[in-house]
Formats: sequence, C-alpha cells, structure tokens
Amino acid sequence: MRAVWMLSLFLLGPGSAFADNEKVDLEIKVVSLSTKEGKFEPELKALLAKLPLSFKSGETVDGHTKPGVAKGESVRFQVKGTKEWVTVSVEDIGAAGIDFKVQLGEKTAAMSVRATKRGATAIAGPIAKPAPDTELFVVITPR
Amino acid sequence: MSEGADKPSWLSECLKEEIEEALEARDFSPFAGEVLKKIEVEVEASLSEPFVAAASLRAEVEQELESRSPHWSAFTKGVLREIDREERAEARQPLVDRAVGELRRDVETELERAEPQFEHRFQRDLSRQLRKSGPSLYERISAFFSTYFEGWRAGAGFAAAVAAVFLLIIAAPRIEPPPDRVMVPREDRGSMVVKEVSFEGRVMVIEGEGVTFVYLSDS
Repeated sequence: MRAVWMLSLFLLGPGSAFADNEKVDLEIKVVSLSTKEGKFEPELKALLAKLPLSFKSGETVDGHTKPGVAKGESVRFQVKGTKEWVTVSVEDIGAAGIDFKVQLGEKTAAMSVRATKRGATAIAGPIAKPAPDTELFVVITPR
Repeated sequence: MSEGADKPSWLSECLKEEIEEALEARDFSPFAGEVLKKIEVEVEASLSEPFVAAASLRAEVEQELESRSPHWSAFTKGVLREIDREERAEARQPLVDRAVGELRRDVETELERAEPQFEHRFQRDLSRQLRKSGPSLYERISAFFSTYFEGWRAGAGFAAAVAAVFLLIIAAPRIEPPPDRVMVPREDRGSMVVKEVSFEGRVMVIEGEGVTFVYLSDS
C-alpha cells in the first residue's frame, strides 16, 4: 500500500463536529516508516521533512478499526511483530471534539489529544524500531 | 697525325701474316697439356689440405642462428597468427552474410507489415491538408448567402448573418453555470490537538493540515 492510505487521510472529505455521547469509529493503524527508497506522497513528505529523521517510505504493518466506540471505551492491541501494546481510550465526546488518551507500550509514553473533526489524524511514535533504518508509528483517526 | 699513321703499313701487314702462319704451324697441345696437368696437381694438393677457416665460419653461423632464434619463433608465430586470422575471417564471412540476409528479411517483413499504416496515415494527412486548404468560414458564408439571396452581394449576406448572431446573443436567456461548477469553499478538516504528553525524553509535536505528528526521541 506504501502509505497510500496515509495520503487518503488528507484527501478524505471534511469531517463533522461531534454530538454529545456520539459514537465514533476508531481507526488505529501501525505504520513502518523507513529511510529507504522514496515513496511518500508530497503532502506527507512535507510533514515528515520536519522530523529529525528523514523518512522516505511508509508501509502499514498492522491495523485495528473498532466501530461505534463510545465515551469510556477503549481499543487495545499488541503491535504485530513486537512486544509493545497500544491502548486508545475515548475520554470524552462532545461539541468540542473527541478527547482520547493514547498509551504507547506499557510505560513508553502516554498522551492526551483532541480531534476536532472526523478524519483528523494523530501519528505518534516511534513505538518500536524493528530495523536500524525503520521505525513503527501509531496512526489514530476517528471516523 | 697523317693518314699513314692510322692505316697499317704494308710491312706490318706482312709481319702479322707471317706470325699468324707461324702460330698456326706450331703445335701448342703439349704445352697446354702440361699446364692443365700442373693446375690439376695444384688443385688436388690444395683440396687435400684441411680448410682452416671452416670451423670459425661454422661457429659464426651457429652463433648467428642462435641469436636469431627468438626472432625466428616470433616471426613464425606472427605468420601463424596471420594465417589463423585469415582463416577466421574466411569462416566468419558466411556468418556475416547470413546475418545481413536475416536483417534484410526482417526489415522487408516489417515494411510490408507497416505499409498499410503508412498508407492510412498518408491518406489521413492528405485529407487533413485538403480540409485546411478548403474555403474559409467567411468564404463559405458568403457563398451561402450569395446563393440564397440571388442578386445580393456576398458582403450584405455576411453582414446580415453577423447581425442575426448578435440578436441571438442579446435575446437568449442567461445560462447559469451547472451546480457542480460552483466553487465551494474548502471546509476545515479539523485538527488534532495534543493536550499532554508523558514521556521521558524529547517530544516534538508537528502539526499539519488535519494531521499532528508526535515524535518521541530518547535524546
């Protein structure tokens, strides 16, 4: 797929505001960003160019989509090929957006983020480094 | 010098004849036999003696042959190489002829195959050129009106046509652009706001259009 789906995140239609206690589809994927080759689309390339490490290609290695996630629910899975776990918990859903908490690994990192619209995406990591030139990142998108 | 000095005198002529007659009368064969015999004896004696210079000449010849030996082998190799080259060239010649023949057949086949295309293109280009070289729009309109309004001049017909077009433009209802052509302002895709990060290391938050990147590094 070569990060084609990542570009689609940019090209998807406009998102919508959330109603109170509305349910959302939580899409969580794990992508492998590599410094090899050069297969990124220009928009994502521009974003990644701001990183200290110069990534040149991306590939989805794991994906979990849970439909109808309500406030207080969470999605937890072990990243394929690693010992690391990812937990995404929906803290609140309201007019301001959806607040969720992301836990990378058991004690690696934790963060609180707010998506103001459907389709907004958070990319966090790296959660693992399977190769010297490859790092795994978690991509979270409420739909 | 007088003429008498150039011409032999009578006396000398007489002496010459007498000497010749005396020589003819005399028998020299015993003398010649003695001389020949003496020569044979001397030659046999010289042949019987050992040839002193032979050894030195033989050694010199052998030395010269030894010094030229490598040159002889190089020369021999060169000659053999040249012979081989000629033989190879002769052997290759039929191959080259065959290859040239094959290529020629391929080209001819390809030309035969592509010939209809050439003809088609040529015909198409020719028709296009004919269309281009046809009468212009003005000429066609003038011809139409000149035949339609007999007795009128072509310019008057063209003016009437232009006036008709203007009238149609003014009288026609305004055509609205189709709905899908109307520009809709691009709606905000929203954002992903990072409120808090708990990580023992360096955190870099990069916000793009609808995407936020949280990069964690140890240092």
